[in-house]
Amino acid sequence: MGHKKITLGKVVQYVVLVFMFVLLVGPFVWELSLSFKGPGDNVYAVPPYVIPRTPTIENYKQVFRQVPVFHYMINTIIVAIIAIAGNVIFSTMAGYALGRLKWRGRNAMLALFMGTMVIPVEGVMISQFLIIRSIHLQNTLLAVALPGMVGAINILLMTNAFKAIPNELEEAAQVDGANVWQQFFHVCLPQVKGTMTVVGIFAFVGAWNDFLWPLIVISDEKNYTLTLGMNRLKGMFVSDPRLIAAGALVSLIPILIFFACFQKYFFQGLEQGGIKE
Amino acid sequence: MFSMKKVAAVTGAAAMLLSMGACGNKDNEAANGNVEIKFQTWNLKNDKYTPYFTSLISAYEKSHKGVTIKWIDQLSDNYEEKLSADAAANNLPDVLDANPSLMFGLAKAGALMDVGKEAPNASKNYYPNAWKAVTFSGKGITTAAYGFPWYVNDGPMYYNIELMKKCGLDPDKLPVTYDDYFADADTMVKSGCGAFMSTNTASDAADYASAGVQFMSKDKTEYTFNTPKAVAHLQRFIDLYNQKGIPPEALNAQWSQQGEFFQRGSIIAMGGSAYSAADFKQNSPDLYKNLAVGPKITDEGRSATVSYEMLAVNSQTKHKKEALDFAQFVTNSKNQLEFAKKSNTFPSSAGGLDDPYYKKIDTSDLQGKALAITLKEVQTGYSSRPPQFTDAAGSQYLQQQVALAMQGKQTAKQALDKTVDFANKKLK
Repeated sequence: MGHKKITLGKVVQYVVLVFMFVLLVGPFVWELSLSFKGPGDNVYAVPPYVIPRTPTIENYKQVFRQVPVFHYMINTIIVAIIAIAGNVIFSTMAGYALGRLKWRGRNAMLALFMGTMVIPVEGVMISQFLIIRSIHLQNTLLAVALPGMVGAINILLMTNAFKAIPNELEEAAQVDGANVWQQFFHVCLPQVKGTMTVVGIFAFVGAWNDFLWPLIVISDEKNYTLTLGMNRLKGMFVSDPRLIAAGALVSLIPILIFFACFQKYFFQGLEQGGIKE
Repeated sequence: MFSMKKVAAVTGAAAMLLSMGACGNKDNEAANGNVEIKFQTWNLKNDKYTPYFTSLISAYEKSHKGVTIKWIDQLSDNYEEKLSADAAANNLPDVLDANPSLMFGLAKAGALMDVGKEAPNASKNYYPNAWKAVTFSGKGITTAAYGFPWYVNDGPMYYNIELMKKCGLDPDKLPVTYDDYFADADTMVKSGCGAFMSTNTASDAADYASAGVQFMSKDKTEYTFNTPKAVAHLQRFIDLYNQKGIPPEALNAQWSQQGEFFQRGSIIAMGGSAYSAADFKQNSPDLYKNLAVGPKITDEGRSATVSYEMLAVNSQTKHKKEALDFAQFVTNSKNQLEFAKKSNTFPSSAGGLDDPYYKKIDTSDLQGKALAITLKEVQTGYSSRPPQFTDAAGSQYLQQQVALAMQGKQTAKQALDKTVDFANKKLK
């Protein structure tokens, strides 16, 4: 290819892209630089600067010394695994039932699930807590994961994914003598793998970032999740933003790894179509 | 050599305990059955305070055989939600730490013990103003002391010296009253230096109380801060805002934002805490060298911003005697003083402020100066914010209405009338 003409459209495109890049990546870069700033740096300096004047890794050392990072990370991973498994299994099954099977009360059920989406978590938190207590699960990781094990939004996603599969596909399987379970497993499931991945990623991020519910339900420090543990870095009287930035970055690393591993599926899920014609 | 001695001592002590236990095993078990008291603090478990609490607890356990203290520390964020969930589930610890504003809802729901009744001799162990701050009254609540006063906090106004000079102000003559404050603000605006005075917008109870406005009726049954005096006071801030002496961001200001503004060097003054000096030293070392401290602005001659932390006892506790005793132990003069010195706060126990430590504060650095000014404020000042004036029950609403008045969408009088009306309806 020879050189292309630089059109006004292209310039605008790139300006917008650069702007979005700064907007999205800026705060991250700022946190990163903040976490390496030492005692000689003015955190709120005007104009702000990115390269630390007194660079140090002391903040990270402090984070690992004050918070049992790996222990809490394992707790969070346990919660995340339960949440991912629950959401992928249950919302796929519910989505199939709601999207492809015909039965009485289907629309009412769908409306009921959707209805739960508009109730704010804060409103049901206390009754959830009372239920967890009454079944003696308070202070366990299972209790942290339980209310998030199947989300209405995920059921909606899966329902729509199943609806998008053309009828011909299932009819063909029916002609071949497949029963409903076989249709579900062997015919429809492969078509919605991408959406299942999206559901899994949502469940993971949700479990990773949740703060309020784990706070309510956990009272023993050894069962803290990572978000709870990192809150320890906030002082009662005097707080160090550098330390908090270092903590935030440490808890970001697993998310980055997770995304790096699954991003292929993530985009597959977003642009998933039906069958090949 | 030293460690040998220690080992010998510990072994000896252990042997003694064992033999003692062997002798009176049966009796002891029957008599004390090992009582466990759950003691909950708020965000105090860290490098700085953990050693204090572990030694405090072990000292108590040593002198009170058969009582064990289980220390729980709650995280900084969403403490209110945690407390209300625990209260709903009857899961509150025996002794718990919070500020009066958080405690008020719990007390109203009957979750906290009337410690004035259960420990009738306790009130004389604390300063009268502190005891007043833990005594709640008003609609829907039995007038009583719902906890023991614990650490006390207040602070000076911090000033950016360099900015003051740039704006034609004299750092050696810091404002004391609101007249001084607005005169300075006027000079600053006229100098055209481009700075702001502070983020203060008269959106808090103390802003009115310090101007001599009676915030609430004596019996705490209604709010009274919509008097002509209060309206005139708010009007001064509105005028300053219109002259660009207050940053627009302040309309939606939260406490933390104020600190950031100050540390960025865009505002001249900031009302802080005694321990804010440490914060500035740590996060803005350049600015720290350039700061002056003065008393909080007030027309009353005493601070209206003293805040009291309190230790309450769960009304449902199974170990009333021990819980009351331990809460008083934590808040006794000796233990409060030790904590106050560590955290740059102040003790609420009677006589605590007469400790030699406060007689010889080293005022050569900013931290010392801040401490000395705050000491005076704590000695004479009081808490002007009624515990029932919580975020949801009026405080946030006041901020919003004041913001609307600043933007010219309503008058100062309308803002205060509406807020008083709103907050009065919340009193039930």
